[in-house]
Amino acid sequence: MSINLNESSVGTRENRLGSITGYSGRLSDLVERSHCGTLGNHERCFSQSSTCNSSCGLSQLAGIRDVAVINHAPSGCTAVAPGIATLDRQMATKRGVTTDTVFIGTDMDEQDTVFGATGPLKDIVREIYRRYHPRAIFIGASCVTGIIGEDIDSVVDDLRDEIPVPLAAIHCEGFRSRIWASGFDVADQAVMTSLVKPPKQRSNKVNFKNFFESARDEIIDIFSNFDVEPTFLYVNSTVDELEHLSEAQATISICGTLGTYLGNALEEHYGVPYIRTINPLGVTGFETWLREIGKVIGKSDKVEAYIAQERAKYLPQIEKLKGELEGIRVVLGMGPGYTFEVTRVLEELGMEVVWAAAWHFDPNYDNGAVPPSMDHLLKNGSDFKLSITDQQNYEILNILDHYQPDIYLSRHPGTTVWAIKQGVPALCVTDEYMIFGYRGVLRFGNSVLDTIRNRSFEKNLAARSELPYTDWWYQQDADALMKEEL
Amino acid sequence: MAKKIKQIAIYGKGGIGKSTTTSNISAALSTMGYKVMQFGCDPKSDSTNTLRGGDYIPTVLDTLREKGRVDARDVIFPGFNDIYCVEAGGPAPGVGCAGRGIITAVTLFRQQKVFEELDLDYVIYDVLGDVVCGGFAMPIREGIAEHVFTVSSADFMSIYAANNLFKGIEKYSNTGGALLGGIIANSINQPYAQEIVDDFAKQTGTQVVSYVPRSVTVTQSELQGKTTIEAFPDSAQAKVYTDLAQRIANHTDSITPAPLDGPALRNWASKWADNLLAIEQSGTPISASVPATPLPTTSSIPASEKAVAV
Repeated sequence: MSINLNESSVGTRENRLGSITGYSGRLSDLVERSHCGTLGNHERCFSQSSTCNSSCGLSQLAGIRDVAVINHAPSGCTAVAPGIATLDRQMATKRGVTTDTVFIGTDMDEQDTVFGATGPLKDIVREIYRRYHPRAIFIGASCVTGIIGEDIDSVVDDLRDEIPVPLAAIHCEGFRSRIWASGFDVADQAVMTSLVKPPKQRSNKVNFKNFFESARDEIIDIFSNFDVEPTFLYVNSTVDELEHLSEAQATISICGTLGTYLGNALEEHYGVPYIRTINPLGVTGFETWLREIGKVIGKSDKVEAYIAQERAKYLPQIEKLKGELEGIRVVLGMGPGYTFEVTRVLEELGMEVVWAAAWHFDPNYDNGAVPPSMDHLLKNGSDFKLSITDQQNYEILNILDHYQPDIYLSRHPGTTVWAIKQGVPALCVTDEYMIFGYRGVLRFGNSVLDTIRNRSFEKNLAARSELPYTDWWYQQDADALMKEEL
Repeated sequence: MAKKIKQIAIYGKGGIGKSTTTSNISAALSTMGYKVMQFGCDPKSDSTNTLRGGDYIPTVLDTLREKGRVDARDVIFPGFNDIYCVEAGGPAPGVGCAGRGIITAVTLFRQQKVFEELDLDYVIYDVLGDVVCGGFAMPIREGIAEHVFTVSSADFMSIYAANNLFKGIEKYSNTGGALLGGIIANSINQPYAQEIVDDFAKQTGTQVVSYVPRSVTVTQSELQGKTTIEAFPDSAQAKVYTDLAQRIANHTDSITPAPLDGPALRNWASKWADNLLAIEQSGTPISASVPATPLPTTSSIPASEKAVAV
């Protein structure tokens, strides 16, 4: 389905990509049904809370330096603001830059809900511009504005002549999607429709979509070998940088889930090639990814030279590590852009994937193709058990209890804490670059070994923790509360 | 460059004959050779019935609820003369939020660029009610319908609904929203009924585009599950609808109406009540105009055309 930049809103992952949040089965079935278009979703008759696409979308935009995000919502929806503001300031400080981005809630109340609040919203936008002079203003919708049909698009249109910076309406109404990653797409839509300008020339930049740019220096260093310079998105991006995304030589994303909308939109509308290989995690991933980038930017020779040089340096160490990791039994729970990449690395290192959980699953990306990681796994003989579960902790703890893995890996801290409370060693792979490239493989492998060799923390915590789940629940299958497929 | 699609919203109080009028306009436009989509925006989801032999079609929202994912093309059904029929659908009476349903259904179509891909000439939204909330205002917002017509009888509640619609149009008029094409006066069989609608049009600075008489031909057609255009194409009533459709096809410039405020509307209605009483008692009509308020300029249709349906 083509990407429509004439609208401020963008379809949810469920509707645009057929994405699901409920499934239990095997990799081969998931991939096969993704290819033939028959994959359906399982609702649950019981569900723990998950995460909202609003906080996802708005926090992406708040990562941009010197902008304003106005959350047109009741105050509770803006409870995420302190966390977002703190994180963004820390990320800026870590990099040695400053950000004056503000995150504001409009505090919609009963009266605003009954009578509509576009008038007060306009005044708030004017006041935010007067006080902070942001480089762009993003106005987020909420469940309340969605239900009452608050027309934030007309507010944006109305103020466009009055306020001399880009304005965008962000349609991230919380109830619209079970999948928080739908928030990545609305943020991309806002950037594409309000900031990105048509290209005037091709630059020597590559757009690099990531989360927290912890490997920024390493990646700049790698790409300097190929005469290109990465622009990292969106944490610490500037409006000026984003205006020129259309001029880049390619768009790269550390995570397929994160990058699909922006990458495909830039390719479809401005001809910027989007790199669609497996991700640069592990040896195979890193090399496949680099070779494709080399091909697209016309630097294959330099890429091959770089790979040869790095292999000589790191492969002997990786081979040695493999021996120690061999046979470690792993359960993991992550977003799909990581679950099906990390499983590949685990198997590459000789570990056994006992169960893989993904917080949602996109049977295809915005170019209509099944995520490349899936075919790669299947082609290489993987067929592990898996579930698609939107952070349903009760399912994860059931799986951990049933399979008793050596280690649980997740990218979301809350879920690793629960595993530890149940006595399972857990490693939180929050840093998106923890398994990046050859050095990342070593870093990750050693962290796994450290985690499983020092078990006193989880033993002590588990001994002192009382979990809320009953024995009855642990005797059930993890998918016992899933309903028939739709 | 793609051709411009003419998007029209037809509003009116429930039961006033809005879907009948809309379906006949769609049918007449299609017989003139235009590619038309009729988009029912009413939880009753029966807007397009007479274009489909009386059949109900699966609605956008029901399909979304059942499948969790909708390709907009899967909820478009062919009707009379290949008219594209869509029903937004909505919740059962008394539950949920019908207004949000309209937003969801219309947004889905817009996101998927359906109107452009079908190469349509006309999209006609048939919208329930009197714009009670933001959801029902969706089709008159920026970028959706350009022209709004309201179906109204001489009944006071129907005029009240039309006046509310005018308030909605006025609100969105300076942000690129739809403007008013005019009033389609329905069930006009008595001279005083025409006078009432004419007077309301004058007070609100708009025009009456057509007078549609109540007709048994319409009832006969609908009992067959058809529009009058399909069932009795040579009837006088079919001509009324064809003329109306032609006028809508020729219509280019809509205006911002000047709705009456609450006291002015009540005052106006009260004077007409006195007038009707006088008619009944003595057969002598009394003038019933509301105290003068500044009126915007509007084009009015020639007197000769006003007589079409009376």
